[in-house]
Amino acid sequence: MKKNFSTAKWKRHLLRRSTYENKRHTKSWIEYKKKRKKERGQFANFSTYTPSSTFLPVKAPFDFSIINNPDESLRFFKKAEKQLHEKTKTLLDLSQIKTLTPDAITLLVANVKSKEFHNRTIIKGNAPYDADLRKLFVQSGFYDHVKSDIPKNVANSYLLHKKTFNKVEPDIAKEACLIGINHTFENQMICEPLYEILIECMSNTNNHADLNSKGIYDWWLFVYREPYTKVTSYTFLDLGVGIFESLPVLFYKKVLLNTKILSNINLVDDLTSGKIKSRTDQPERGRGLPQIFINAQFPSIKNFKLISNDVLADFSTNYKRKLNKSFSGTLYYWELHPPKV
Amino acid sequence: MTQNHLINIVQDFTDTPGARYRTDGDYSGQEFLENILKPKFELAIQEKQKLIIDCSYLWGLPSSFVSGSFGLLSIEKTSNLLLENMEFISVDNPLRIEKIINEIKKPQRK
Repeated sequence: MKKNFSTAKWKRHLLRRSTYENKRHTKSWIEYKKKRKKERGQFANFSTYTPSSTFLPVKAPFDFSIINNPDESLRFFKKAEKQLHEKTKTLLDLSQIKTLTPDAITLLVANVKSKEFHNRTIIKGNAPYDADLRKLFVQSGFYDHVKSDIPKNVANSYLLHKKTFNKVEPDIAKEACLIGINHTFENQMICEPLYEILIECMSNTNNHADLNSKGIYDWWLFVYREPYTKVTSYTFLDLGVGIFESLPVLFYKKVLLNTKILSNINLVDDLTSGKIKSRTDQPERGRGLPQIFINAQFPSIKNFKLISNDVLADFSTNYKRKLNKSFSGTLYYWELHPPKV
Repeated sequence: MTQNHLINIVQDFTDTPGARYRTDGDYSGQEFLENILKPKFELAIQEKQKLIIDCSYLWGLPSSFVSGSFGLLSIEKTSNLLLENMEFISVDNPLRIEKIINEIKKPQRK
């Protein structure tokens, strides 16, 4: 028996269907779907409403800074990661922090966007209560990368960039240089050491990982113009294996086993001098860190720090120390200062 | 009067040199070597002329770029041939020339 599609029920269905189909092709619908698709992959929600008690909080240390307080700050991330890997919904509680530096914001956003960190478990978070820190946090561009009810594009002053394809981006390096040069030197003169540091940092993202899996890690760059001084700080990081766990260095360490030199700290000088090179058919490698180290001595570049695995090395003062908590990745931090008058 | 060949890196290639290999990203040393430096160098040799490299007004000269271009060319053609047939100009920073020449003289070898 032929179905009767002329009944009222079918007519209502067809009318609803037709309205929906028309709506699907409107501009607002297409934009809405794009936004939903983007948000679907985001496991971090930093909205301002109070989360429910099912989220287990992890409190950030009062001094939330990787470069100044690496042990406690890294412990915070380790604890959060452990909870997330146990599939516990986690609240990253930044409300009580008293100090916040740009490197901590960079590592925070890199981690909450990293599947290895959140393990597809929901994260919630909040902003510092302190007005100045809250302003820094909001204007950093952090909220552009998480779900939140903070209006997007509030941060029009700072650059916070993520690159997923692991390529060296010379145009971005130039843009980052110009931001700092304009703020610190109030001109647009070329600053070669700054540009070369950025290129070598990007290039080393490819090169520190296992050579067979080149290009699976991405990098983050945060350029922060301190509002009350002429200082511009740069944070560059990748969540790879870290310098001291990369294959060329591991091979070098095996060679040194006979001499019982096993601490990563003992390798810093060899790395910065270029003694540790690739063992493979790419002998021209191994120049990046020496180049970074040389450029870090430029008079306007200060407070240059490298944090990777269990090492914190200050290239400006040659100070090195072993960290209590290991960091799987590589973080570079430095500041561009105006010349002394 | 013989006319020498000229490469102005900013005009012929970029003011923002990149890393070593094409797979690293844009404006790599390999790209510069294969598309510009090596063909022009070989042409200059063929015509018994010098190749002048103008590296003025670059944003920087990353070591990976230099070794991926001049370094590899030096390994292939020998440093003596390059140094005899190349001249360098850098209006704003003469240290760039030193960097390139050092790389040509001591490229990384296997």
